[in-house]
Amino acid sequence: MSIESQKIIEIIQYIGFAGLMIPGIAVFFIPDLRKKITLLFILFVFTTILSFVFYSGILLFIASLAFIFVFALLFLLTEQLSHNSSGSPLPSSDTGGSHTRIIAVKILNIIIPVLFCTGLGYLIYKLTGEYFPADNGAQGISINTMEEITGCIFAKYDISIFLIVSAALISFIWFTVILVTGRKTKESAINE
Amino acid sequence: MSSGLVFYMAMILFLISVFGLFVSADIVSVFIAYQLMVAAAIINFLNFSIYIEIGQLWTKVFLIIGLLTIYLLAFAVFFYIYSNTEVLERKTIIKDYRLFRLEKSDWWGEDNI
Repeated sequence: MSIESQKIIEIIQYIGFAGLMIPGIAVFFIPDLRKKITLLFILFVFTTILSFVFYSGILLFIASLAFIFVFALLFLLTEQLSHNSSGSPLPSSDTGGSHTRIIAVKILNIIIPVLFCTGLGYLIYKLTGEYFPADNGAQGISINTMEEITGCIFAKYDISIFLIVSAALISFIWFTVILVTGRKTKESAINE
Repeated sequence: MSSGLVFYMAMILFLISVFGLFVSADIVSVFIAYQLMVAAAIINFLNFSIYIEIGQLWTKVFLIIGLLTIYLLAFAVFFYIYSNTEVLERKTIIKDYRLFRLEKSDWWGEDNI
C-alpha cells in the first residue's frame, strides 16, 4: 500500500473517531429527544465509515439490516414521547431545593463520573502501555467477501448455536420479567 | 494509525459511554450510551482482527452474529415499550434511569433546605 493511501486511511480514521466522540459527548447534554435520535444516526454513519476503513464494510451491511428496524422503532417511540410531552424537558430528580444547591448537585453529578472515567482510563493505559508493538497499521490486509462469511457460518456453526441459545435464554428471561411487570401494572391500574 | 492508538481511541469511546450511563437520565440516552459501547467493541474487534492472520474471518462472522443478537434484543425491548405506552404511564417510561446520582443527603445526612 502506498504512503498516500495509508495517509488517507489514517485521516479518515481520525475523522471517524472525531465523528464518534463529539456527537457521543453532545448527546448526553441535549434535552430534546429528536435531536438525540439525529445524533444517534450520525454515530451510526461514522461507525459504518470506520468499519469500511477497517476493511469490513460487509459486516455493517449485514448488521444494519437489524439496526434499521431498531432505529425505526426507536424513532417512532421518540416521536410518540415527544408528542406526549409537547417539548417539555425531561423530569429530573435534581429539582427541589435552592438554586445554588441544584447547580452544585448538577456539577457534582458530572464531575464525579468524569473523575471516575479518568481514573479508569489511566488504569487501562498503565496496564496496557507495553503490550502494543510498534506498527504502522498497514500489514495483513484482507477483505472478506459475503461468500466467505456465509461459507464460514455453514461450515462451523458452534459459535452461531451458542449465540442463538444465549439470545433465546435472554429473551425468555426478558419476556418473563415484562409479563410479570405488565400484570402488576395492570392490577395496580385497576385497583386505583 | 497504529493498533495501540486505535485501541486507546476505542477506550476513550468506551469511557464516554460509561460517563453517559452515569449521567444520562432518559432511556434514549442510555440506549445511545450502549450503542457507543458496542461501537467501541466493534472497533477493537476489527482492529485486532487486522493483526491476526488466522481467525480473521471468524472475527467478522462472530461480530455479525453478535450484532444481530444485540439489535434483535434491543428491538424486543423497544417494541415492548412502544406497544405499551398507553398502558404504562409516561412517567415510568421517561423516568430517571441514572446509575449514579449524588444528593447532598448521601453525604451529610438528611437535608431540609
